[in-house]
Amino acid sequence: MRALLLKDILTLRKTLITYIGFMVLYFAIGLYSDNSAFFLAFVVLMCNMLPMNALAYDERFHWDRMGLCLPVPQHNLVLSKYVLSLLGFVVSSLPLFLFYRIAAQISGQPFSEEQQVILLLTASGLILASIQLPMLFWLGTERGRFVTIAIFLLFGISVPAIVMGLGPIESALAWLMTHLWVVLLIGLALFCLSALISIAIYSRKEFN
Amino acid sequence: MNAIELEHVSKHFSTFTLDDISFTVPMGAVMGLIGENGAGKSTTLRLLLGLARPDGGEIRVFGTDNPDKEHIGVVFDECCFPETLSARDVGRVLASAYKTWLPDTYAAYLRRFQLPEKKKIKDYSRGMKMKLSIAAALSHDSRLLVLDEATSGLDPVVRDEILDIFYDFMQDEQHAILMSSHITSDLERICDYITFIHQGRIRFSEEKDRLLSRFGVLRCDETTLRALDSAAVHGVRRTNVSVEALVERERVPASLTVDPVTLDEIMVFTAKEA
Repeated sequence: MRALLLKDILTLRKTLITYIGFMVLYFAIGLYSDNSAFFLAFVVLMCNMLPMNALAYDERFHWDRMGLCLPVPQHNLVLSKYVLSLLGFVVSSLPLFLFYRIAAQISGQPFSEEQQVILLLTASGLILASIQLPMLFWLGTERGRFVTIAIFLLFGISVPAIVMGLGPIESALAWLMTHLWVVLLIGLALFCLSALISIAIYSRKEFN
Repeated sequence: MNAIELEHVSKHFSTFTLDDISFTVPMGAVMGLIGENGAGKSTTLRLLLGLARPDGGEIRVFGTDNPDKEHIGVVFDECCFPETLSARDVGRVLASAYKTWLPDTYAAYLRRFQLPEKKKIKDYSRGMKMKLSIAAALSHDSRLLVLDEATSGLDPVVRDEILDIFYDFMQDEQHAILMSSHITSDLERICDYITFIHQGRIRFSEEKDRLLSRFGVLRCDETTLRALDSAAVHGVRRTNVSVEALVERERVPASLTVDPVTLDEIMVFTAKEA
């Protein structure tokens, strides 16, 4: 696993530096405007882009052939992409979480709103990654990303429609915002389920 | 112990079938896999390496169907390391993957091949990329090398250098090599055994020296050819002025002059005959 993660990190070195540059910029904007949502949205996007970029490099250079010849379990080739995504969330969201926690502690202000935004976007990121990664393993990065976009669009249109159909959206959102830890746990559960699905997809694949 | 055993291996695709592939590579031996494009050489290697699943038959490496990959070095027809990495990065990654990684050996190969450690792989020439793949394959406790067209596209000087390295590798009797190549002169130089795959089936698999001494090329006229035992003739090539036939030396009259044959000629004659 360590070798595979190291390979991905070294391969994505330039991309990571660019992402970190943007993160610093968005973080500064967030601090200035006292609104971290933009920064967190970028984190979600970045953490979903990371494994997709890593997989695109793997496809381009036929890394899977080499990876499968290494003395590492086959499922680690899949899990490493999930760990990469998770690492992205932890490395980018955790410092922010701690920052707001400490800031709230010092100022004596309530922490709840920022905490809610962080949890909501982290959970959303996990759910998006849970849908995206099996698609990428199944269809490859070219077709996979289009299918993922289609699913996200469908998701984005249908969920609000269902929520509105069920009742006032405010109450649904209010419930969501008060149960964010549950949402995060659901996101994590989906993430684990997604990893199992991707492992099953990958184990059926054959490589040229 | 045998390094590789394939028994009645088959794999079906919509347009191609690899059928009943059986051969053995003993420890201490080099097996060359020859055949035209699309004959099934790479598919055979993919099945051996677990990159594809056979529909039938058995594959054993070091006597088991689940070999320790620590002892298998693989070189594909192209460099499979992401080209944004450098040789030093590759070393760091593989050091984390292989328990038996030999950093000094790897560094020595990089020096021997004159591969800049910090240069990105994308800036390497094709020859340099292949050398890097070979350096990586030889820098852990490899006992079996699987080489898929590893020398194709390389100039004769580089090929010669690489064949010397394989030669050194084979000084240990507990090592073995299975290599597919179109460049039969390379195989003639290094191989102990040759397996010829044609249209998904094995046409022959035997010792190279025996093969080259068993067969020869007879240049004659049609009348002489017709007089021969048909079992002695394994392929015929006709031109406007002469007839050339791949024949088994022992089955043709001693009065006829049979020229030595190359692996290339055996492949061309046999493929045409099939």
